[in-house]
Amino acid sequence: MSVTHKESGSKIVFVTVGTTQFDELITQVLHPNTLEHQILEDDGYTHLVLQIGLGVEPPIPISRRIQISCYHFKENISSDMEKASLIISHAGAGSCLEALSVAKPLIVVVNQKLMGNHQLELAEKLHSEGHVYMCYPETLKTTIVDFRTTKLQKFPRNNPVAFSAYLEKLMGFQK
Amino acid sequence: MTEEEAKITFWQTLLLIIIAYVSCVVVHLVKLILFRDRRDESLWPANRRKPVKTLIVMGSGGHTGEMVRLLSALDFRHFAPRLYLVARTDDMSAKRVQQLESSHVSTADSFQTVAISRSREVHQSWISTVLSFLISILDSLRILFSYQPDLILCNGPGTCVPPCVIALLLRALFIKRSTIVFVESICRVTTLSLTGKLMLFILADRSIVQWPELHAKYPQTVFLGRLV
Repeated sequence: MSVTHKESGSKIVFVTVGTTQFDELITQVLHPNTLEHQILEDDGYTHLVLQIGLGVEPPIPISRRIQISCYHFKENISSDMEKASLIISHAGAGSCLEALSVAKPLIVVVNQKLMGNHQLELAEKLHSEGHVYMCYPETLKTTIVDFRTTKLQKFPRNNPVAFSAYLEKLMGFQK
Repeated sequence: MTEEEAKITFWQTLLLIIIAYVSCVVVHLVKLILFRDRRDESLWPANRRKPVKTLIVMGSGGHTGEMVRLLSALDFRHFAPRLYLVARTDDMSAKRVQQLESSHVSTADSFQTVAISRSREVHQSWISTVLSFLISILDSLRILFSYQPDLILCNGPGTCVPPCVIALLLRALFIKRSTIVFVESICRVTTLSLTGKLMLFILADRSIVQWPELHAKYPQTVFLGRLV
């Protein structure tokens, strides 16, 4: 486990879109309504970190109290996830599971432009079991408000050992 | 017997052998597809000593991430050597393979990564998809004929179909028996992907799903809980 060191008094929101392009989400997050009136004022966030994947670099608004930074890709975003107090993620399974495994409050934002949208299945399941908040870019603001008042269910650990044991048995290795 | 008669007999015998072989192959293929054994806990003789020669298909993006998590608890001494199939244009997956293998220090030299053509790029047109699928089939034929794995692990998407098709054919032809294990993505809660359906009904020996709802819908699948 890497060491989580917060600069004293910093409170970070981490936004991730994985290996995709999700400009609608980035635009909504950087909207003055979200920054100033929703995130900034009431919740005391000091930093906003945007992982924008294949997306277009957005114009960074000048905010009085939040430091905004953005990058396209990183080898490993888990350290950024661990330092965050809130994670806003696209509905990709990898990002969701990584965020859940560091046990951070997670808002999953679904991209309606994606064909077939099989991401929706997982997001809805996680949402219905109370592990994450789920929304669309348009409803992000109201979801952030809801997030303050409702609690999330802890997400159970995954079990890759079950897979390994299954394969061993299948291929003839005796226990 | 005259020389003429002997010649005719030779060709007749050869033809008979070929017909017999082809018939066996057809019956074998039908048996594999329609009467696949889904219940045995073990598909190979017990008390195995030799390690399992493994082929792992890295599907790109989230699929690669899931595969890395699936392999995280695997005993690499039992599953060696390992050949990773990575799409030609997929640098990220190649890197993830390097990371995964270097975290298993003792077995670091028993793996290889091989590039394979993608069956289909995003937004590719229908006609060029057929062409690239055929190229993938040829790629798979070359790779599988020379490597001949005991076990094939895949979790979608389309990249894994050509290798599994070829593996099934090689098995039907009595050339090499590979066990194909497919793990459906964690994203699939109530519906099976197209690749998942192909695997479950035709190509795979075992199809694993990660949600009980999906397992209830397709009872022939295997459910082991959430793996990734």
